[in-house]
Amino acid sequence: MSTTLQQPTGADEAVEIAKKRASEGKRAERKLGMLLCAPAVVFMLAVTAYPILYAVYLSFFRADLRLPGQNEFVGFSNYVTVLTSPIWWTAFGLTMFITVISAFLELVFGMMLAVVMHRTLVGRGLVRTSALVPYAIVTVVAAFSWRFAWTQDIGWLAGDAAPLTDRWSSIWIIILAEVWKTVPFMALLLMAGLALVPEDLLKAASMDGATAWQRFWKVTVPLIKPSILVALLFRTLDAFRVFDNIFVLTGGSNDTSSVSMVAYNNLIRGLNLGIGSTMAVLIFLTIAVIAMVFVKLFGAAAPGQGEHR
Amino acid sequence: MPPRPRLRRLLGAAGTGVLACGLLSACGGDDGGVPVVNLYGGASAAGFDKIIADCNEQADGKYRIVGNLLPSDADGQREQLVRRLAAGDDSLDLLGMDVTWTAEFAEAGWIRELTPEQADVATKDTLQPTIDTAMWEDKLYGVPKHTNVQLLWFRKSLVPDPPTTWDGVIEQAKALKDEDKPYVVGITAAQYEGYVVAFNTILSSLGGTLVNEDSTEVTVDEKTVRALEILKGLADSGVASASLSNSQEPEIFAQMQNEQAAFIMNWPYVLSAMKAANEDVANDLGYSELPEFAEGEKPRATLGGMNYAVSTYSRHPEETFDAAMCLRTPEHQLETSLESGDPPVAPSVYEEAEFKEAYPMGPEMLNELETAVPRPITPLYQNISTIVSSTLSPPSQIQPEETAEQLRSAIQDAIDGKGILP
Repeated sequence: MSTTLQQPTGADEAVEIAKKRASEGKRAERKLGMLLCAPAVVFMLAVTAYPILYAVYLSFFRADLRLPGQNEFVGFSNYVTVLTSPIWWTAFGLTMFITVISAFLELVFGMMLAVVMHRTLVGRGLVRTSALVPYAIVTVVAAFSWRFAWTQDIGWLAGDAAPLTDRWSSIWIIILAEVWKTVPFMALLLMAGLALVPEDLLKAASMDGATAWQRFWKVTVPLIKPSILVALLFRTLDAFRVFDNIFVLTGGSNDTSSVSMVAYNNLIRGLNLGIGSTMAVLIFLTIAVIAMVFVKLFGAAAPGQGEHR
Repeated sequence: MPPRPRLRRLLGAAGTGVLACGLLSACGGDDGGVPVVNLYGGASAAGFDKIIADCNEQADGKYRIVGNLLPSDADGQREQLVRRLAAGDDSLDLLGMDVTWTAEFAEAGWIRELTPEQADVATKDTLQPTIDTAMWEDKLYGVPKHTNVQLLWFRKSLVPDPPTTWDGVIEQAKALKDEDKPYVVGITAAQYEGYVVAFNTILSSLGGTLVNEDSTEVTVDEKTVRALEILKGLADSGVASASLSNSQEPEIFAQMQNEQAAFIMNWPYVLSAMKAANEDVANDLGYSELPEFAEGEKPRATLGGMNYAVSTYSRHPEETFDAAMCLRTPEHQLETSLESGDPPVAPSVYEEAEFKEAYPMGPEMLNELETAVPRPITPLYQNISTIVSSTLSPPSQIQPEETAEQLRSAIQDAIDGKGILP
């Protein structure tokens, strides 16, 4: 501003030119950036957008590989079929149940583990590494361990009962396997949040006479709320797509199929591309709704959107 | 693009046969000119590698069979086959198919119809009902390889006078229960394929079916209701096992082995398996044909077993057919029945002394096989099987009239393309 006052005309021009240069530079930079991104974008379009759109397209057709002669456009008929099917709604209810319960348990245990990992003074590396072991094991392998552990006469957890042949005990075992596996992941995300809580604030609260419980609820939790929401969002989306644990543990018997299991069964086992794609689209929409609810209602922010401090 | 002389010269100079073959895909066949027949299904059965080796020797360079592994459960096997066939995979030649897959594979165009000459050879010395399992819309698509039927197994000491009707079985079991002796009547009624086999046996014995011949209409009627009454009757009779709704073959076998069961409906493997499991019970083990479910009507057992079919995408269909015929010659069928317990489809094998020794129940099996029936022949078998086993589970919850109605509408939905697999 001061330069403008002293040398009205010349400086203005110089500024204009400088601005122009800067913006030209910026534009060139952005162009380069776009170019550099382009391969990745094209790749993503090829491997994600195309299959998604193709699934949507297929969901409007009667497309059954077993009856290739009967393929035809059927509009929304597949959606009506799926949405009026008790099989779908049973699976949907079960998936929701597993999602809510396991995300809740993971949050509670994850928080506990995060606090422990955050506060550990001795053997910090060892504690953190060992806590991560379940997350490092391939889900299918872990699921097989659980299955054998709960198999009658073989497993050390089962004894002479056969919990995997009953619906509710199977569901709790599935939740257990899910929770066991993903608590470390939750703890990691939450620990990153805990690292951001200034020690001073906690000390100040302590000086004011806040108990440890109060410090946790009144200081820590509000400060790490963004981390909690992001962690919950990730887990909810993941949990809703639960597949491998169920596939290995029960194979979907006794009404223990999740929506992903049902979609898989219709697509791969039944070769009914129309119905199967319809289910895939419905799962996609449900997940989109869940993500939207988290972002809009709770204000969860994806990492890198600037809400993190 | 114009040819590049320099490159060509280079290739010409350096080009060994191997390099040229690598570039020109048409060069030679697989494995130095001998067509490879890739077998999928049943290749890992006990002793089957010997049969494959034997056929390869007999083929004398005409073809070479390579046995490939598939998952151990039927669903997993089918899943891999259909996934690869749907993608037009030409590395599958000979398919060992469960008898229930014929219609589905044929309708989808994945397997070849046999030529009249082939059909002639393939049906010689072969039981007609097993041929029926390889037919779809009056065309023959497969070569029966081995078969199977259930028998009624009982304890000779408890059942001196074996019943010939289902009502008789239940009555005798009730009498045994009153005497505090082993009394359980075991059938496979868990929610799985084996339950469909049991239900199909009862329904077919009553003369009923689930779908019409070209699988365009559902045929649930009062016979279906009667079959459901029989199942419900067993569940309510007090002589069924408490774990009826969880009983697969191993469970009902165990009920016999643990001296709870007086009668079980199970496959022929029971005899040899019981000798290993419980000598006392094995010595007391009696067998007969399945009981009559409708008085005076011969029972109709449900066929198990396997058919060979040639993949549409195979590059060596003739060789593949020849290979299949070699793998199931009567001699090889005999070997299979002794080594891996898969009963033969050739009636002549049932006359062999060796067979009679290993299968004392051979005559009963042959009798049943002559009138045995396939499970519903339809491209939608996966759906129908799932519908039957889930609608009828657990047996104690069956309401004959209502359950039949549910079956009808669910099967109709499947035919209309609205079938959802759970």
